[in-house]
Amino acid sequence: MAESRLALATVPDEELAGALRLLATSIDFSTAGPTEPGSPDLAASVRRRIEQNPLRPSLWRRLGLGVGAGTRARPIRRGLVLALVALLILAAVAGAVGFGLPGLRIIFGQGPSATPSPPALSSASPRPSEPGPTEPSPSATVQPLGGSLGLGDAVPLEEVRRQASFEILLPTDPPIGPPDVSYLNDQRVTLVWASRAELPETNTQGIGLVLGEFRGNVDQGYYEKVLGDQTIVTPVTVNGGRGYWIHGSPHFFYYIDPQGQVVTDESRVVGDVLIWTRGDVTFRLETSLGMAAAIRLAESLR
Amino acid sequence: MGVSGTVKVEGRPLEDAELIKRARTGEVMAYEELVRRYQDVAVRTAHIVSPDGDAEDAVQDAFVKAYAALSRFRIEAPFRPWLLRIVANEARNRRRSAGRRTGLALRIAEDRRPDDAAPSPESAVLAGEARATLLAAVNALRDDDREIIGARYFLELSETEAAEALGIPRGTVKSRLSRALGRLREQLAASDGGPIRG
Repeated sequence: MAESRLALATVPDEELAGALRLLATSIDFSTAGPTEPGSPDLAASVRRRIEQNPLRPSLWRRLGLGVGAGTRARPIRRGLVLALVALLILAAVAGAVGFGLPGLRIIFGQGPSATPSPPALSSASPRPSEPGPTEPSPSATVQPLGGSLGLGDAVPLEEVRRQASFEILLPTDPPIGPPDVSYLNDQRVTLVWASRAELPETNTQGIGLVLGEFRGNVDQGYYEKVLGDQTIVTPVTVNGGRGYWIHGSPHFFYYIDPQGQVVTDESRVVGDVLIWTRGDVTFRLETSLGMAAAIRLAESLR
Repeated sequence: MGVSGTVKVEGRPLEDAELIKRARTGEVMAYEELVRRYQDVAVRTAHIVSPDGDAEDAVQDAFVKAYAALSRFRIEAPFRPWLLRIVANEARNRRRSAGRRTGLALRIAEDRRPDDAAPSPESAVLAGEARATLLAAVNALRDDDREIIGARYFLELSETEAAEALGIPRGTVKSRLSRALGRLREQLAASDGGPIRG
């Protein structure tokens, strides 16, 4: 009998390894929690956390990151850009969690502060050459509406339609007609309407509506939004599809090119925004009409 | 592992890289699919690294952190070891705070399955108490010994994957494993189980 006994302590490595592999099938690897083994939907929990949990704003506050730009004033370009760069680095450090739609990523962090906060960045930013927030850019003679927003080239709508690889849609409710100016930047289309009775002024002076359209699944680059803890994201449904209504405090909005660089020309502070997708096209709408009217307008695109 | 939500699958499951690309652009559903794909191995990893910690909690946190770090992931690299490293780190954080130690455990009512009519030689070796003896010896090992044995034999990771998941140089996997097996033998020899029935 003694010969038939086998001490694992003395078997060759391969045999011990085999025994360990077999042991693995008997180990209790189920979750220790009160839920049934194997049944807890971990993946759904993770998704919920990603969608819902704003990230430790206290950490951001502890780091003392604040941007001195006012909310209605035109953002101070360089200060904003520096702040964005810092935010991106911090987002990586703090493990910021984002969500969004194809081609558009939302990050919870420190948005542009509405109330003056310790101007950690703006004071450090070298901007003596920029005396005031409303200082026009050097080439600013007569710009088309929205021309200072870095939306690309102002191109007639027909030309935009010819060049875009997807169908450009326009709102029909309210019947506001074609945009006053349309912009094209690669395949990113932005349509701008001047403010008027049915389109009250947005965060940007003179502008009543900004409608962005781009193919999120195709473009290698993507838009990114950085939201502060005073900015609220409400999941909504637009034409049965997924969307988000972003309101409350203004937030940062910028474009990241396929090389991962922030395209600073398009960086700006924006107010209420509705974002949604239809097919592989992602839409974003800047408006001060409020959520219900924004969704109605979005659903009226033809 | 069902395909969830809005992630479209046309005839074949999407490659990890495709899901990662989509997740990066904000498609949370694509990421959820990745989570489903790797949650089992992630939970096992957390158990091995921190047998007394809350494995699911560690794994949840790890997946959330991995999502945030997705932009730093090299798309051409394998996702599994990259993810498991984050999981292992999360589990290690919990290990430090875990108080009492009970270690890995056998499943309760570990009955022989009906289809095990003809047990392999190894399963005969591992009959009955042998399993408990071997697992007790594993539990008595130092953390890094248990990790390398777990990575290679419980998770069946390749040497390269094990190195990345555990955050150790690739060239040291073999020697670490060999030393861990040596110490496992010492534990087995010291245990009062003595010879194990074959």
